[in-house]
Amino acid sequence: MTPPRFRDLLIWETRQVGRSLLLWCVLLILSASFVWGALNTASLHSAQHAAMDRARAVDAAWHADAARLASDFREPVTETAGQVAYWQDPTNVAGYSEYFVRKPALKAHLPLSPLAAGVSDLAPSRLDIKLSTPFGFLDTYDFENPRGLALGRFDLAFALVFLLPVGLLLLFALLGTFERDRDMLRLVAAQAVGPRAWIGARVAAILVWSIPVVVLAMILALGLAGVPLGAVAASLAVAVLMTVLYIFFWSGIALLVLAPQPGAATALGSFAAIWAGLTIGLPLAATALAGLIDPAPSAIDYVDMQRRVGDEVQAEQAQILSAAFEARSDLQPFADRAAALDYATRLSFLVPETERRLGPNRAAFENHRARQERIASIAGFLIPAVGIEGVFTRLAGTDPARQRAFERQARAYQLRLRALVHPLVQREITRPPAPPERQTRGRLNLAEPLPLPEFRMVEDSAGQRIGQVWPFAGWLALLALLVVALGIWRIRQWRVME
Amino acid sequence: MIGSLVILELTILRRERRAWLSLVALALLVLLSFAAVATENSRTDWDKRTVASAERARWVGQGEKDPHSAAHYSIFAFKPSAALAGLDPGSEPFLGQSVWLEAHHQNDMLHRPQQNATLLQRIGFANPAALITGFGPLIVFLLAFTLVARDRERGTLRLALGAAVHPRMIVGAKTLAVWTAATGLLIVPAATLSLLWLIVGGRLDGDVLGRTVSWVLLMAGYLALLSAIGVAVSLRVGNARLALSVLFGLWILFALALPRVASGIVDAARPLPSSQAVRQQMAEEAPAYWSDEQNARNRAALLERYGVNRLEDIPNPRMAELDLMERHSHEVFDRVLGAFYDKVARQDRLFAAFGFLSPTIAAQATSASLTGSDFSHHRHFIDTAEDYRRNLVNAMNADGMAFRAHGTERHTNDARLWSKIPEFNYRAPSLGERSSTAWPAMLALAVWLLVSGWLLHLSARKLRR
Repeated sequence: MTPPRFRDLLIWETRQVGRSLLLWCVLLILSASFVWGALNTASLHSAQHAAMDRARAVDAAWHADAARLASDFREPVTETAGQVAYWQDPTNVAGYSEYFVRKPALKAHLPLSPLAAGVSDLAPSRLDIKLSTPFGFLDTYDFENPRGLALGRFDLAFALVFLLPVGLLLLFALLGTFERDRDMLRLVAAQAVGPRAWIGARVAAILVWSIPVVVLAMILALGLAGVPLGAVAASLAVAVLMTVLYIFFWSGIALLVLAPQPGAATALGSFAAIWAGLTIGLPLAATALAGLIDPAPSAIDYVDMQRRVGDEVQAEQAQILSAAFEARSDLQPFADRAAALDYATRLSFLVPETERRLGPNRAAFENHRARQERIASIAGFLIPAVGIEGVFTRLAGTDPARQRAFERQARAYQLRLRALVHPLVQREITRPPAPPERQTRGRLNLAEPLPLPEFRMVEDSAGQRIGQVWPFAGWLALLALLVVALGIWRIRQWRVME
Repeated sequence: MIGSLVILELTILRRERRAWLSLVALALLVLLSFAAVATENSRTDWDKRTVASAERARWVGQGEKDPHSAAHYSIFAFKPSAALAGLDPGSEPFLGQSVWLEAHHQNDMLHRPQQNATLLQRIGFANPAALITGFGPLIVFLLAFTLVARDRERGTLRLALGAAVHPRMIVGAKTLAVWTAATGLLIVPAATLSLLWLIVGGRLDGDVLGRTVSWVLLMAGYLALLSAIGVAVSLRVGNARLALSVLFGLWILFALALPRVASGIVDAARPLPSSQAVRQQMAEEAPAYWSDEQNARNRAALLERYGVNRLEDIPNPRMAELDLMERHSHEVFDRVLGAFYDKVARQDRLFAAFGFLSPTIAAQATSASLTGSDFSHHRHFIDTAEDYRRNLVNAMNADGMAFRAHGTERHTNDARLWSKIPEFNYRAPSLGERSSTAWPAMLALAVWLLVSGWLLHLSARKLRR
């Protein structure tokens, strides 16, 4: 008897599988979960964008108010309107530097952000920049319900990385074991068809239906979430490609499990164990191992260090100021004025010194974070669920690396503001001191509030982001090929007895 | 009789290699995660105690200064981890652990343990409660299926039922066997280890013991209702394949999908205002550095309060103004931030109510409440720390106001005043004191237990026919 061609078998299986209610139920539920996930993340990001808009509006109002006050305080002192304190006076450059210079640094979301929430629910997308905050900004954050953070967000990436394999494995387990559970396997085995072609055609038929539906649902979900699909076509294409490779990887796992032709119970049990192992067990073990090998520096110890350094700097401020004056030729002649500096001017010398002393501790945190990200990146190659989540967040722009770049740029922005303002503050030391009684309400050593530059984040281009995910894409393709080949190789003979 | 049957079923279960190994693997993961979380908490708590002592020493030894400057210097307060956080850290990894209690500001709690978590750390962050509530259903359903549906498929169940005087006893024995195996391996070792850990750490007291017992009862109840559902579905659904599909689907629904979906619905239905908006409102209504116009309003208010016509007649107008603004800020913080935290509590309550749709949600919400690691318990710390801050700042301002100082004059004080401020010692609320957000979840669990028991009863009755 001539065995049927694989193509014919596949066409027949495709027709049969296409009539399965289970297939359409699973695909419908998966599609719905994609839509919900994308909308859920889009909603979070939309709220964050609204907060950024508010921050911009507040910033504009704040600086407009400073300009208004600066204008008002040019007026002469009257009986009812006296001199204003330096910390209320934007025409006093020292007061201005400490109490009026504040700007937001904002990290807008990329157009493809509904693909993955990434760190966007945990890490701040808005930082308040003031001149005297050590290292750029406070370790603050936008409050999200911690219960939700602990559970994890139902985003599109969650649906793709965790639910999609579960749905596919359910299909493979139930549609791939039908004959075994109905005691029809002997009948199939008696035909002129090998187990490899038969199981292969069944798995391929499931994929023939699943892959287009998954891809279309993914694109539809992103479209419904407001992603401009045309503008992100290249990144989206890569995300789709990664999803298809991920599906192939799990199909390979399915072939491995289905090779001995088990019943549904055994297949589902094995699938559940493999799924749990790959998506929960391995990440848990890798996290525990990474924590053991490279424990995080203690944040509590850092608080202690901050306090100690703060006290030291306060106690040694006379020497620090004296050394700073000594080191600057323009300030050397005015060393006697160091002790009488106002708080804001003192800070312009003391904060950099505080940062210098805390630098090693801060660097320890930054280095630990960078090392952990490298570990996570390597772990991604060993644990596909972690790797593909990393790819999605990279394409969506919600990855930790972009957050770190944002924080680095926020710090650079603070230094830029300091470079703009502090020279003006320190220049006042060389000028004749203001008389105790002024003619005008304001000090007027700063004619107008400065035109402070806005923070603009320098971004990787879409091409660069895509370039960063190719190594993993290549690896996943190889891994999927390997697992599929191994699965096919394992299907060698009929096993009519379980 | 039933005891012998349960032992027999347990023996059968142990012989079903796949299901039994899955249970053992999950039990090991539970213990591993307990060790990881408890060790990290102990390390951090030790750091917190050490630095808190240093903070106290710094406060008392800050030297002679203006009391308002002392109020700015103030202290950092640290929140100790919940005693049972090793079993369920709840929201703690995503909540700040320290707060600076300075004048003018009700600062945010900072240093969230998971603040800079990588994707691997977020995916790989596990704890006993999360593993039990998330994967317990899968394992319990697998055990129940193994004991019932397969027996049914092979016809051995019919044989056993024919021989039994009370078919309900067989069903009960199977359910009890599944429950005993799951509870014995997943709950009891973790709870025992936790108790030993608490004894060694000197943290075991009546409240902690009560919480541990309640947590064990909660989890045992959760596994009991899952066992009942697993056995009932395996008995009632037409064939083994379908039974397994239904159970697998229930696990996905209960443990994977619904908790996150419910959380998303809660966020959408009762959205929180952005932190930016909250901080902005507080800064506008209670600024730490106020304008000249505000100064003028303050002066008028002080003159009225003291019943004088000139500021010079007020002993220390600067401190009086600081005190005025400080007390005003308390009202603002209570109104703005208090309302914000109330909204978080309302979100949690709504989430707990979703426990009627998924027993996993009910178990998660109740577990975090029983272990004292949910937001309600965190709020207790926030409120306690804020009360301490207000008392400290008020005491500093009161001392300043009691001494005459005008213009650039400054009244100062020293360790005699600083040491009058009591040390910050936090005592977590006792069991039940902060559980209001979890009540819907507890009620839901009770309903689930009743419904699953009733379902099992019905299934057993149907078998007799």
